[in-house]
Amino acid sequence: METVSRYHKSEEMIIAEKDQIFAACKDPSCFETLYKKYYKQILLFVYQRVDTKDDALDVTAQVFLKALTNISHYTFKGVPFSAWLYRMALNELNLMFRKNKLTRALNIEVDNMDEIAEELDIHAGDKEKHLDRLSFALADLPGDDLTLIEMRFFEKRPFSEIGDILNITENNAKVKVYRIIDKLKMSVLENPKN
Amino acid sequence: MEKIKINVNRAKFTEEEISQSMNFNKVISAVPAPPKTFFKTPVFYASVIITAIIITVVVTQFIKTKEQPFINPPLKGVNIAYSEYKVDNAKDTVLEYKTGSVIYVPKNAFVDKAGNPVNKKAILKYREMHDPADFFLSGIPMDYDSADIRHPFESAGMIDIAAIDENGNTLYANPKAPITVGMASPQKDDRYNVYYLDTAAHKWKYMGRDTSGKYCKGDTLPVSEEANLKNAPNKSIIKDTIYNNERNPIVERVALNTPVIPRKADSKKYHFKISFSKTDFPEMAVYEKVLFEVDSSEKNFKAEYASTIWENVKLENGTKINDYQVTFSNETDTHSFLVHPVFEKGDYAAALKVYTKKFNEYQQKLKSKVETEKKTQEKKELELTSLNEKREAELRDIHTQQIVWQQRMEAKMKTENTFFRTLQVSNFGVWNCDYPGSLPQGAKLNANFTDENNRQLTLDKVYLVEKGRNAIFTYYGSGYNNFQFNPAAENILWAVTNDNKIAIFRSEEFAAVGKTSGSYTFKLTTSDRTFADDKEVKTFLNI
Repeated sequence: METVSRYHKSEEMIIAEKDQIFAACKDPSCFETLYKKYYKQILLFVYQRVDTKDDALDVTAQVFLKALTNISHYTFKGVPFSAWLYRMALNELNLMFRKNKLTRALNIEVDNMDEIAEELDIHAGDKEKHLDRLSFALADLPGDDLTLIEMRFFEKRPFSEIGDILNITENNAKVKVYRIIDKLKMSVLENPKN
Repeated sequence: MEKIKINVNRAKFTEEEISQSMNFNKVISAVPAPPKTFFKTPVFYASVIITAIIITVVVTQFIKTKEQPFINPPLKGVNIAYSEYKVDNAKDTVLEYKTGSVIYVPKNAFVDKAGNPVNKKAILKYREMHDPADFFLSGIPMDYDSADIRHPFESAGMIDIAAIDENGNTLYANPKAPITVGMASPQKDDRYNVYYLDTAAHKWKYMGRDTSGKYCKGDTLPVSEEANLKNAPNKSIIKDTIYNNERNPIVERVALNTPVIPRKADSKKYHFKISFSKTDFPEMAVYEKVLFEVDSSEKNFKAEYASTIWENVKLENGTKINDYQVTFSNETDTHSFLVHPVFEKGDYAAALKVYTKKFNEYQQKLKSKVETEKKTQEKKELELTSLNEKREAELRDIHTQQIVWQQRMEAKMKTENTFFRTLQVSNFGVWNCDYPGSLPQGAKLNANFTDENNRQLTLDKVYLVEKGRNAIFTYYGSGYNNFQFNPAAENILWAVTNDNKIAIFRSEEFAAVGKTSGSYTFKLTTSDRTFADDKEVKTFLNI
């Protein structure tokens, strides 16, 4: 999976982005720059959580449509604009899942499972043995927990970005992630029946 | 838990796919048209119209409030009626009001705008307010503002007095002849003050302690005319003045130039001749060769005085006719003697002839003068008698009316146990005998008012009466947030609705309030009754 976690920006870049947002508020056509800048990130973010490419394209289009419609409500808080777009994408996905218009998908790249396996103290020799269990354990996680694991291990996002997207502190994001890891460890290693 | 589909190593988006899927134009075309600018929306227009209506209503209400008279009877069509009396301004009058109050109207009690007593008959308009229902119906504010603190009046009675002429023109009270009202008051205690309602300043004006004007049996008449009665001219004094005016013969004779009676000189007495002023002594001016004879009583006269050179000789009238005082003086001596004018034997006949002639003239003049004086005196006496009789008649009439006024009150005090409070009306308007009390204590609520169907009532004023206190407590505006009443007392509350009905909350409902703080909604019962007069309202309110 391609890494999209290019989150860190200089202060100048963030300020420049703010100007683009204000310009888009006055003239929607100015939003195109931001659209092009973040389209791929949002598309892949959505695709990570849905089943098909078409679903991902539809949801992404809807996310940008809502972003453009509500750009005047955006409040600059010193974080990259992408955090607002990710949050909007998560809300749109949750809306779709709640209305059963989309199926929540857990898209696993086997290569990405190594890092989780390491966190769970699964030895390399047991990896094959526990992979299925881990997949099912992930699929059994509550939606918010799964999102956290996806952002941290599949999308390789820093905790600061996770915090910005979920509107929690970086430390809180870290604590939450490792509690979920503990939960998964218990589920995978101490409950072999699963 | 939602159902999750697990995909392992599924197909990824290619860069080409991503590039191809990007379509900003599609996104921007899907953006809904921006909402109309607010000031172009129907909501805006509706808001403007509603705001305009609200402003109009508020301003109208404000103007209406501003235009409301200071004395504003709240129940349209019902008021405390005036009694009208036709009064002759040329004489004193005593009137009686239905409550037993006795009104003494002195002569010239009514003046016009310029302050001149009116010649026509006056119509005196008079009414009294004695209980909370009266205060309510009259619309007279019953709050006293003392140092910006509101005190509700507790009343011993209130009068409203005015006057017009027969053409309806306003008349004014004459401060020099004030109307005196003996107001029959049910309250008999001594704690009240007198206040006058200043309708221009919109406040009550403290006029003094009521005790100063309280009428008690045996009091001296409080009418200022009494002083005039005592100082009136007395016929007997006038007569005495005329007839006891004794004539002074010296003055009379001098005034008429009557000569002194000539006398012959006594050869045994001292005589001397001096010059005198004929102007100062006209009675001797007609004679020639007048000598002055030293009176026999003057034992100290010496013959050498006649040869002494005196620097000054002074002649003065004595105390009797033919008595004169002569004074000789020089640097060392001064001597005074009583002397009389006399004539030598040879001069006496001529002097007597002159005297006889002058005396006859004097008699004629005196006779004429006495007759003239008598006529003048008689005329003067007649005039004075007439004036005196007229004045005595007037004062007798004043006194009679005052006695009538006094006797009526005394009779009522005796037979009806009525208590009178005396008010001297120096200005027409509203006068009261009250004292500033305090709002009821015990409960303070944030009051809300509804009708029996729980519909919110918008009320200008709410009136509260606590039985046992002769006062009306009026609440309005922000006063509803601090609605005070005494839970231990029997209370009654009412208001006049916008459609001129009385909405009431009776004492038994008060007993069920059960709160002394916080908010409370008073559910008032609106009466559909139309009231013809104050008696019907009093019966309905039962206070």
